Amino acid sequence: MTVELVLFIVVAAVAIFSAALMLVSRNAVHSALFLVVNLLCVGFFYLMLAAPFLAMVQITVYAGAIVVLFLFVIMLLGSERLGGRPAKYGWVASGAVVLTSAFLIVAFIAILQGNIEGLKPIEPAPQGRFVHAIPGAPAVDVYLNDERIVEKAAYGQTTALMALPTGERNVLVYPSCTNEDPAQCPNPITSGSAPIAAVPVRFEAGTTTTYIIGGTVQAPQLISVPTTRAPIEADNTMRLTVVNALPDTTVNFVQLNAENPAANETLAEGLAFGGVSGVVTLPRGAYEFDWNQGERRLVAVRGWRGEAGNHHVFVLMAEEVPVAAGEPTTRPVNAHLPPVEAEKAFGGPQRLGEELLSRYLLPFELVALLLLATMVGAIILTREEVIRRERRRLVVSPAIKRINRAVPIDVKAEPVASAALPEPDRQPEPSGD
Amino acid sequence: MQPPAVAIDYFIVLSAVLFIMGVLGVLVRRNAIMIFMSVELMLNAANLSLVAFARQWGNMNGQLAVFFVITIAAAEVAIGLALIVAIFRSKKSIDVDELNMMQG
Amino acid sequence: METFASLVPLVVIFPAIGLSINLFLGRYLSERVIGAIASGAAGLAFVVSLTMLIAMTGSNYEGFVVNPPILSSFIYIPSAAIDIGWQMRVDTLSLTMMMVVTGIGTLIHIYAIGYMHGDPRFARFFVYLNLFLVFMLVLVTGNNFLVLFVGWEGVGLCSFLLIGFWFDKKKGVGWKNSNAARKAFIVNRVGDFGLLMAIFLMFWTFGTLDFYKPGEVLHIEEKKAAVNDGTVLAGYSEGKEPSKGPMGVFGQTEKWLKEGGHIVNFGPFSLPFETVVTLITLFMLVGVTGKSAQIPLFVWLPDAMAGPTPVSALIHAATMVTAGIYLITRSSVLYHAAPFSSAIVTIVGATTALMAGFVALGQWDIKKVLAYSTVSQLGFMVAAVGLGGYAAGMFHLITHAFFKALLFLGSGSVIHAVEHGHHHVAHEKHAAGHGDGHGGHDDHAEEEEFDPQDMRNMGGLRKKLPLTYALYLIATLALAGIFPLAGFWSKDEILGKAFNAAFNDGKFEGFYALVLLLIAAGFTAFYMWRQIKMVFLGQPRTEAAANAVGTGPVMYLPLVVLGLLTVFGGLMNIPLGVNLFGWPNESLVLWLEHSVPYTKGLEFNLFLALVALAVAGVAILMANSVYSPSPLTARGKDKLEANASTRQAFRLANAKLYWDETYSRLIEQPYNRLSQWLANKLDWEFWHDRFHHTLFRDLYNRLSEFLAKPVDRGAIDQGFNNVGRGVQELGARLRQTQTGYVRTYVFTMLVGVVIVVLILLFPLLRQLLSQ
Repeated sequence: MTVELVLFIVVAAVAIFSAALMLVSRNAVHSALFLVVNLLCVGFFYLMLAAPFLAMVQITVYAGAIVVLFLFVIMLLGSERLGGRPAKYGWVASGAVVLTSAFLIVAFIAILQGNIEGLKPIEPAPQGRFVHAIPGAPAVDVYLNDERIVEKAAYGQTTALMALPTGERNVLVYPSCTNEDPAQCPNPITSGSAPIAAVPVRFEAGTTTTYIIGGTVQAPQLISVPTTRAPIEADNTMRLTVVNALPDTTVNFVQLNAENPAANETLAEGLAFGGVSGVVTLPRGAYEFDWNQGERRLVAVRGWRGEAGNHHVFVLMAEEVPVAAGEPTTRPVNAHLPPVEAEKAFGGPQRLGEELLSRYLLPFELVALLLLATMVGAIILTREEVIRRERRRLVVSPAIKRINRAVPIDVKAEPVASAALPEPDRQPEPSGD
Repeated sequence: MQPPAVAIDYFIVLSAVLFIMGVLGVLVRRNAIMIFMSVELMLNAANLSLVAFARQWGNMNGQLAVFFVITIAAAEVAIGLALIVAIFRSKKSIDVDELNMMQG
Repeated sequence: METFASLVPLVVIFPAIGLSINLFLGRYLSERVIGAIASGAAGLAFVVSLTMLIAMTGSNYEGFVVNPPILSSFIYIPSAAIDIGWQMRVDTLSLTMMMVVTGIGTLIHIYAIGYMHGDPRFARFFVYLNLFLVFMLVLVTGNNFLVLFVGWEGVGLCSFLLIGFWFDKKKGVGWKNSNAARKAFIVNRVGDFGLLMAIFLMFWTFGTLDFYKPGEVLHIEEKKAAVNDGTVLAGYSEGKEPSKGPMGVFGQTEKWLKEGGHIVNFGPFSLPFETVVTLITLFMLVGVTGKSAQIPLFVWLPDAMAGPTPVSALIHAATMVTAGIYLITRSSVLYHAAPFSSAIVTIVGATTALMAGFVALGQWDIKKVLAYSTVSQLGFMVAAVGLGGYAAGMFHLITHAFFKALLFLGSGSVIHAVEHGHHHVAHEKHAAGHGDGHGGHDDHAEEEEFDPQDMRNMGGLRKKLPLTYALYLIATLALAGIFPLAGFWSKDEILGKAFNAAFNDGKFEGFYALVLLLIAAGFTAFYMWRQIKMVFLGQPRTEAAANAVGTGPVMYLPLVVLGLLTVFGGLMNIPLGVNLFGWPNESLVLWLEHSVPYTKGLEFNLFLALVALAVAGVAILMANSVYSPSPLTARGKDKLEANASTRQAFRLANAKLYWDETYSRLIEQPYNRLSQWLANKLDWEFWHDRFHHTLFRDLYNRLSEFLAKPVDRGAIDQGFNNVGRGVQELGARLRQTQTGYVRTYVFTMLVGVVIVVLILLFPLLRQLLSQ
C-alpha cells in the first residue's frame, strides 16, 4: 500500500463521485463545476502517469476554456435551473442503465483478465556507432557476421548511430577495398582474407553503444562504450565518459579547477588500455581536462564547452605524426567524439514538441486549420439574422435583365431575431431526467 | 523507465467507469448542455486510458493522441455550443426531446 | 396478190378507228356524223375485202399468211413451248366470210342510223357495232386457233353488250334485257369451254395452233373437186411432196394420217392420233353448239331478241352465229379425218333444225319466230358441214344471211310502224298532247301493256307498209325455199348432200338428216307463211296496227339491197347440171376449194328439188288454209290451238318445248341452291360465324380477357402492389427508428458498441467460462 496507491484511490473516488454528482445535479452550473473537479482529478492522474505537459494542457484547455465556454452558454440560455417534465422516451434511461452495467461488467472482466502488467514496452533496437582509432590502418569495413554495415570508415572517423540487430554477432573489421569499381571488390568473408579484428559482440535492445576500434594493427581491440540516451533528469547537465584507447598506458582523467588548482577532480583513475570510465554528470559549461599518465601530462584538453543534454565521449588514442623521414610515429591525442544526444524527459514538453513537429506535423497543422474553421463556424452559427438588402448592379446587361425578370429577387426584410435573454417567466423547456 | 507506481490496470478500470458514467449521462439527461458535458466526460475517460497505456508502453504516441483529442474536443465543444445557441434561438428550448424535426 | 393480201389488217383497223372516234368524240358529234363514221368504217372494210377478193381472183387463189405490221410484234405470246403471234390468213374462205360480214354489216349500220334515232346512247350503240365488226373480222382473218378464239370471245362480249343495250328501261324491262344478255354470255361460255379443250388438245398434239405456216402448201391425197379445168389449186398440192419445214395443224394432220400409226402421249396414257382428232372435233362441236345455237346450247338465241333489231339482224342472223359454221369449215381436214364426229355433227344439226322449226310454229312474238327460224337454219348449215358439204354449208350461210337479215330488218320496220301507230292512238286518246317526245321507240310501250312485237296486235299491214311487205314476202319465199330465190338453191344443195350421203354412201346420218331436214323445211314454210298471214295479210286487229306509220328512206335502202341479194344470191353456186343461160356453175365451190380441202360440188338432183319444192308449197298452202280468213279465232287464239288435234302440239311449241324450264330445273335451281347453301351455311354460318367467331374471335377475346384480368390485374398487379405495399410497410416500420431524438440514437450506438465489444472479447469470455 504505497503512497501512490492511496493517492490514486482517493483521487479516483473524488473523480467518480464528482462525475456522479455531475450527472445527477439539477442545476447546470453545479454540473459544470462538478465537471471541473472531475477534470482536475484526471489532470492529476496525468501527472501520476508521467505526462506533466498534458496535465497542464488538460487544466488549461479543458477546465479553463471548455468548461468556461459551457458556463457562458448556460448563462446565456438561462438554463441553470432545470425543470422537471416527464421524458418521452423513458425506457431509454432504464435501458441505458442495464446496458452500461453489462458493458461495465464485461470491461472489468476484460481488463482484469487482460494482463496489462504483462505489457512490456518494446525496447527499441540496439543502436551503435563505430570509431576507427587505429593509427596507420587504412579505411575499414565492418561486417556483422557476413553483412557489411560500415563501409570505408577512415582513421578518426565516427559513424553515425545506426540500428543493429539484437543478439550475438561477430564483428569483423576488414580493410576496405581500394578498387575503383565496387563490383571488382571481392567479398572478404567469402574470399577468406584475414580481418583486422574479429570480435563476437552481444547486442542488447534498448542500448546505445559506441564501439571504438582501437589499438594497433597488430593488436587491435574493440572497446564498447555505453552511451545511453536515457533522459538526463537534471536540467542543464551533461554526461561524460572517457575511454583509453592508447595501448600500453594507464591514465588518469582529471578535471581542472581554474580557481583552485588544488581542487582538481580526478574523474577517472587508472584507466588501462581499453578501459572505460563511468558516466560522469557535469553541469554544462567550459571545462579543462588533463590526461595524466602518473605525473606526466599526456594530453591537455582546453577550452571545451559541453552542451547540456548530451553524452560526450573522450577517447585517448594514438595519432600518426607525419615525419619527413623514417617511420611514422604516433603520439597521444584526445578525440572528442560527436556527442550523443540524450532523450528528453518522457512526457515532457520537449519530447511532445519534438514528436509533434517531426512525425505529427501534418496532423498538427490540420488540427490548427480545424480550429480556425471551428472559430469561423461558431461565429457564423451564432450570428444574428442578416437583413439581405437587394443588391443592384450598376451596369445591367440584357442577359442580366432577362435573368432578373425570370427569377424574382425578393426583398426580405427579415426580422432581427431576438438574441436577448429570455424573460424568466418564459423559461425554456426543462430537461429533467 | 521504471514501471509505474500504480498498476495501470487501475487506471483502465477507472477510465471504463468514467466512460460508462459519461454514456449514462448522454442517455439519461435531456438538457443538451448536460449531454455535452457527459460527452466531455467520456472523452476524458478515453484520454486517461490513452495516457495510461502510453506510460505502460513507454511510447509518446499515446500522449500525442491525447493532445490531439483535447484540441478536437475543444473545437467540437465550440461548434456544439454554437449550435445549441442557434437552436435555442428558434425553439426556445434545449430539451433534446423537443428536437425531433428529423423524425422519419 | 401478196401486196393486196397485206391490206388485210386494214379490215380490222378501219372499224377500230371508227369505234375509237365514236367512243371518245361521240358526245360532241351529231347522230348523222356518228352513223356516217360507223357505217363508213364498215364500208371501207368492205371495200378492202372486195379489193382483196378481186385481187385474189386475178391471182392463183393461193392463200397468204400475213403478219400485220406493228401489231404482230406487240401482240405476241412467247413461251418455251410455242410461239403464237397475231397472224392473219387471207384465202378464199376467209375472204368469203369477210365479204359477208363487212357487206351485211355496212347495210345494217346504215339501217341502224334510222332505227336508233333518238336513243340517248346513240353513239355507244355504234361503238359496240364497230367493236363487233372488229372482233368478227379478227375471228375470220386469224391464222391460228388462238386468234380465232380471241375473236370468238370478242363477239360474245359484243353480243352481251348489244343484247343488253337497253338495260336501263323501266318496269323490269331493263332487267329482262340484261338477263338475256347475261344468258347469252354465260351459255356461250359453256360452249367456249369445249372450244378451249379442243385448242388445248390441238396444242398438245400438234405443238402449234397455226392453220398454215407462212408459205406452207397443204398436201392432201384425195383428188381434187369435180371440176377439172386445169386451174392450179395453190391451196394444196395433189399427190406431190409435202412442203418441207414447219407445218400448221392441218398439214401435220395430213402427214400423220398418211403415215398412220402416230401416237399422241398424254403422260400416263397415250392415244392413237385418229382418236385424238375425233376428240378434238367433238370438243369443237361443243363450241359450235354454243356459238351457233345448236342443241343443247341454243337457248340464248330466242332471248337475245331483247336487243334492238339491228343487233338481231347483224349478229344473230347473219354473222356471229355463223362463226361456228366457219370454224367447222376451216377445220375440214380434222372433220374429214373423224367421220364419227361428222356424224354427230350432222345428227345434232338435223335435230336442231327440226326442233327449232317445230317451236317456231307456236310463237307469238314476231322476232321470236325469226329467232327460232335462225336456229333451225343454223341446224341446216351444221348438218351440211357434218355431211362433208362444206361449200354447201357456206352457201346456205351466205344466202341465209341475206334473207334473214332482210326479214329481221323488215320486222324492225313493222315493229317501228306499229309502235308509232300505237303512240299516235294514245296521243289522240289523251286530251292533252304529249308534245314531241320521241325518246326512243320502246318508250311508249311502257305506258300501257302494249307489246308492239306481238303478232296478235298486227294484221293488215300490207296496206300500210307495202314496200316492207313486198320485201318481206320475197325473203319469206326465199327462206321457204321457193325457186328461183337464193334459199332454194342453198337448201337444195344441203338436201342433195344428205341424199348422197344416205343413198350413195349409205350413211345413217345422211338418211336421218334427209328426213329431218325435209320435215324442217316444211315447218319453215308453214311458220313463215303463218307469220305473213298474221302480220301483213288480213285485217288489222288493233288500232295501232290500223294506224301504223311507215319509216323513212334510210331504213329502206338496206332492205332493198338485201332484197336484191336474196333474189339473185342463188347465182353464186348453181349446181352442176343446171344450165342457166351459161352462168358458171359451182362458182362458190370452186372458189372455196382453194382453201377448204375435201369440199365438193354437187350434181343437181331434180327429183329431190321437186320433192323439196312440193313440201314447201304444200306447207304454204296448208298454212294459208289454216290461217284464213283470220289467223286468230274469235277469242284471240291461234287456229292450231283452237283445233283439238293440234292443241297439245301447239301448246308445246308455244312453251318452247320447255327447254328453259328444264334447264332451270336441272341446272339453275340446283346451282342456286348449292351456292346459297355454300354462301349461307358453309361460308357465313360455319366458316364465318362458327369457325371464325368461336375459334378466332372468341378465343382471342377469352385469351385477352384472361391475360387482362387474372394475369395482368390479378397476378402482375397484385405482385407489384404487394411489392410496393411491402416496401411501404417496411419503410413505415423502419421509419420508426428515425425518432428524431438524439438519445435514442445514442442508445442505439451504445447497443452497437456493446455488441462489438462482446464480439471482440468473445474468445476471452469463452476462455473464462470454461475455466
